[in-house]
Amino acid sequence: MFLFSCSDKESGEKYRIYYINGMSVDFMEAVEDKKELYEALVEYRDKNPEVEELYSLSEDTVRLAYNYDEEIYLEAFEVFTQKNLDTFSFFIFLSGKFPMPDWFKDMYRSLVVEKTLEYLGEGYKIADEDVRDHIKMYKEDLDDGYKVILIGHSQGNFYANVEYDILSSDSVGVVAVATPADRVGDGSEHYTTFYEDVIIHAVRFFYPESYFYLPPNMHAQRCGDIDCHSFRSSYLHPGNESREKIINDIVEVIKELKKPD
Amino acid sequence: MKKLLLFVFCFVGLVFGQEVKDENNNGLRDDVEVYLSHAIPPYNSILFAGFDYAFVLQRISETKWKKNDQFKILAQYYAKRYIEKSACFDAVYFKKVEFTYENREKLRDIKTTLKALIFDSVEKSKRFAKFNGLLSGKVFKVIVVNKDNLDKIISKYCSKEVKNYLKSE
Repeated sequence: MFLFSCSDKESGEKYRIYYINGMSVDFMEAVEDKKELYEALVEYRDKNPEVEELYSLSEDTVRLAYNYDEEIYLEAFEVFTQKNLDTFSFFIFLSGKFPMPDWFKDMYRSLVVEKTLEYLGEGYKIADEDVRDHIKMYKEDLDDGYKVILIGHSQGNFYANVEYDILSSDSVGVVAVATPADRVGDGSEHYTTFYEDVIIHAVRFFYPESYFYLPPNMHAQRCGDIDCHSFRSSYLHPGNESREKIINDIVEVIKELKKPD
Repeated sequence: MKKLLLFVFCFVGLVFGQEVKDENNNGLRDDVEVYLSHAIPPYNSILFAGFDYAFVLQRISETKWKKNDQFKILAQYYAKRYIEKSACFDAVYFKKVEFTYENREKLRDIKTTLKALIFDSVEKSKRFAKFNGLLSGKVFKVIVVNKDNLDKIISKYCSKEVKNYLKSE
């Protein structure tokens, strides 16, 4: 216990991790995703006591930088209700965990893919006001001496990359999960995408061949949702090696980043 | 089993969805109470923590959200309340149930079903989208519950009622 405390002080790592959700994830789901990310970090720290970078991990280390695209939800909802189906099933299907009719699966996937392609085609179409508060928080942390790590999931990677470009700092790093983007914002290779990820596979299928994308780099042993795309149910599933890889990437980024001036 | 549960609650959703009843006048819809009492382990502490959690969702579903600064602030207030009541629900639940990934997912499935039950009309579902949209671009400190901080979370974020039930169980 005493040794742990000493090392804690000696390592003195100050960092903050921001989880940036995919744009069709509602607030309640994003909160659960963030909780599981923290739990994965705690588990990793307990299993690997030699990793000093995680000694200073606390409940406030991981925060949620939220974003949401109403359009996808409303469009899907409209198609759904036109078929006179109840709203209860809509929410249950959206959770991705229960069997859903093929037409709904196809419709929802194509909406998400279409939206993602729109973002890619227009060079990450994100309004300044959507990232203003995120940037403000990151800057406050940098001013207080924190390294900042952005974890993007799915379209959240567009936000992570845009925000990295705005900050352009050696004290900010990016870890990408299930990324449809053409790069990891900080130019590193800290990303995890399943070969089995249906959404990302569909984005690639529809995008021109000349487009440079980040190829899948890992197999899923377990898919916790129908598309094998969910941050929590699939990528952070304890039965998947990706859970450890994502945390490994975070630890590496913490090591690589410079302390803010 | 999952399919059977889904069917049962789809049915409940359809039956109660159109007409919201609160016969015991406690502010929470009866169908939500019935669902919770069947879905969770049989402890009043968990049940009432679940009621507090569901009540925040119900308030969100009843608010006619508009896109302006006042509603942005209100949405953030509800988001904060949501995070606190969600933390309390988690903490009380894991006082009685082992803190494993499977059980965390089980509780999340209960929360998903609650959401589906509460936002049970076209109007409410659209409000749900607006509420989420108002939170877009914001940063949130999410209260984390783990096996080591359950008591701390309960003492800070749970109602007196929930704490009293916990003491008596």
